[in-house]
Amino acid sequence: MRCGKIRDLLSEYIDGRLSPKVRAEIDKHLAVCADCAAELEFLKNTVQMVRELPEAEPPEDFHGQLHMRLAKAEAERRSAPADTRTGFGAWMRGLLRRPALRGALAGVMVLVLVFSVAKYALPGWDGNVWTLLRGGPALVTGFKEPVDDPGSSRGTGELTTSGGEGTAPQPGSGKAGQDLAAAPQVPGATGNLGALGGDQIIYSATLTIEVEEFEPAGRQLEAIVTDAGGYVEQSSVSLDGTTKSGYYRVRVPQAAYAATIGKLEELGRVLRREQATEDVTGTVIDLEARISNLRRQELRLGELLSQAKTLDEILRVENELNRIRYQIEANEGQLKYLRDRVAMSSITVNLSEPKEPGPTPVPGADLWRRIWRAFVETWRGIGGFLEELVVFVASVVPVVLLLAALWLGYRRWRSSRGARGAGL
Amino acid sequence: MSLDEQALVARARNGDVAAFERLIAAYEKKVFNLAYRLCGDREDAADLAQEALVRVYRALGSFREKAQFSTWLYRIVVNVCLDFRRSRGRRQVLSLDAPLDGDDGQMPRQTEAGGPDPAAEVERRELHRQVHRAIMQLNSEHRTVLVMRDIQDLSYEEIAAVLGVALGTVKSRLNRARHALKAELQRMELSPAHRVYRGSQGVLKGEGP
Repeated sequence: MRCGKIRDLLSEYIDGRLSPKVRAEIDKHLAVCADCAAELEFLKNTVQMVRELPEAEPPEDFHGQLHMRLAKAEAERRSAPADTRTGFGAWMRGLLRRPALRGALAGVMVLVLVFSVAKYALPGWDGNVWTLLRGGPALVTGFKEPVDDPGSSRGTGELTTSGGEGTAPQPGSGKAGQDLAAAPQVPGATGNLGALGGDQIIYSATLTIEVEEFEPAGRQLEAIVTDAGGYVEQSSVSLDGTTKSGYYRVRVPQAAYAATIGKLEELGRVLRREQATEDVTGTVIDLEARISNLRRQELRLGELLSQAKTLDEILRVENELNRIRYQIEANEGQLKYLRDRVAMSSITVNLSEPKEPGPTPVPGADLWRRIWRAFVETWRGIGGFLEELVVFVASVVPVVLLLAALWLGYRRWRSSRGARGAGL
Repeated sequence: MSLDEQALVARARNGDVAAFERLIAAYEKKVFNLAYRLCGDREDAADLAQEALVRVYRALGSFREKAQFSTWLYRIVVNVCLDFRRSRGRRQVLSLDAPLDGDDGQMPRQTEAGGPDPAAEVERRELHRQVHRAIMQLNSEHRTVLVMRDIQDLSYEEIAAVLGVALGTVKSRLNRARHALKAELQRMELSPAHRVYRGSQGVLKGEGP
C-alpha cells in the first residue's frame, strides 16, 4: 500500500476498526516507513489530547433554568388550541415547515400574481401565454370595445344579418356580424324596377330601433317613407306602463330601399337589423311563359268557338275557355304580386322607447334581487377568472416541467461530481 | 430503549415534566458537553443545551420508538448548535478573555493520587485551553464528528445515525477532522510529537465495549 492510502486509514487504525488483514498490512508498512510511523504518532497524540479534555460541568443553575423552560413549554402546550397540535392546523404547519412545499406554495402565489397583473394589463386576454407571444401588442390595444358601438358584436342589443335566400350574391349578405355598421344591402345594378329582362329580386328588412320618444319618431318615420315614394302598409302601437312601442310595415320603391334604411336608422339606436333578399327571376319567367301559352290556347279556343255548330260543342268549348281564362288570371295575379314585391321593398320597423327604471324603488323591496344579482355576477367573475387562470397555468406548465427537469439533472450531475471530488 | 425509558417517554408525552427530567437526567451532562465543544462558549452552551432539551420535550410526540432515544436527542442538539453557529455567521465565537476550561466548575477527569503539582496543573489547564481553541478552529463538519467521537465517545455507527450520513462518510470525515486538528495543533506550536503523555492512559484503547 502507498503512504497516501495508509494515511487515510490511520484514523480507523487508531480506533481499532480495521480487519486483522488490513491492520497487518499497515503494521508491515509502518515498520519500514518512518514518515507514516511518525504521522501515526502525531495523530495518536492528537486524539489523546482531545480525549484528555476534562468533562465540562454545566453551570450551577443549569438544571433550575432548564426546569423553568420546560415548565413554560408545557404551559404553552396546554394553552395552545388543540388544532395547532393536532388536526388541520398541525397538518398545515407541518406542510409549511417543508421547504419543498413552501417553495411550491410561493411558486403558485407568484403564478397567480403574474397572471392577475397580466390580466389587469391586458383586457380580453384569454389566459394563454402563447397568444400573447403570437398576438403581440395588437392584443393590448385592440381589445377594448366601446359598448355603445352598434357595430360591435358585444353591444347591448343583438345585431344579426340574415343572408339573402336568393341565388344572386349580394354585397354584405352572408357575412353575418361583419360590417354591420356599414351600408345596408344595396339593390344590384341589374335590379331595374319592373324590367322584365332583369333580375327580379325582392328586398326586405326588419329593424329594431330604440328611440327617445315614440310619437315624434313615428311621425318622422312616416315622413321618411312618404318622401321616398313609399307608404305605410301596416302599423300598430302599444303602451306598456309608461313606455310606448310599436311596429310599422312600410313599402318603399326598390331604388329607395337602401337610402330609406339609412335614414330610418338615424331615428335612434339600432338594436337589431335583419335583411333578406329573394331572387324570383326564375319564377317570373316561368309565370310569363305559362301566361303566354295560356293566351295562345285562349285564342285557339276563341276560333273553335266561332266554328262550333251544336249547342253541345259550344258549351264544351266555353267551359274549356273559362278554365283557361281562370288560370290566366291566377297566374297574372301571382306575377303582379311578385312584381309588386320586387318594385316595392318592404321594411318592418320596430320602434320602442327605452325601458323606464320603473316606479321609485321602495327601499329594501328589491334588496334580495340585488343581493342575488351581486352574488351571481361576482360568482361569474370568479369563475371566468379561474377559467382563464387554469388556461394560463396549462400554458405555463410545460415550461415549468422542462426547467424542473433541467434543474434536477444539473443537481444530480453536480452532486455526483462532488462525491467523486471528495474521494467517496 | 429500556422499558423504564419507554414508560418515561409515555408519561412525558402526556405533559409530565418531572418524568421528562428523569428521562434526560442521564444525558444532561453529555448534552451540555456536546453543546460546549460545538459552540465553544459555556454560557451559550448552557443556553443551547436547554433550548435543545426543550425542543426534545416539545417534539416528543413525533419521536418514533424505533429510533434510539439518545441518537435522536443528540441529533437535535447538533442541529440546534449548528443553527446557532450559522446564524452567527463565520464569526469567531471564542474570545481570548472568555472564561475557559478549569476557570469555574471544571472537574478534572482524573486526579493524581498524591495531589497535583501546582505547576504541572497550570500547564495542563493551559494545554486544555489550547486544544479547545484548536477544535474551535475546525470547520463545523469536522468539529462535529471529532467531538462526537473523541469527546462523547460515540461509535462510528452512532455518529452515522445522529448525522444521518453513511458510515463511510463518518470514516472519511473523522479521518480528515483528525488530520486537520493535528495540523492546527502543529500550527499553534503544540506539536503533538513533542509531547509526552503523563496521563494514566499511556496507550490508546481501541473502540469497543
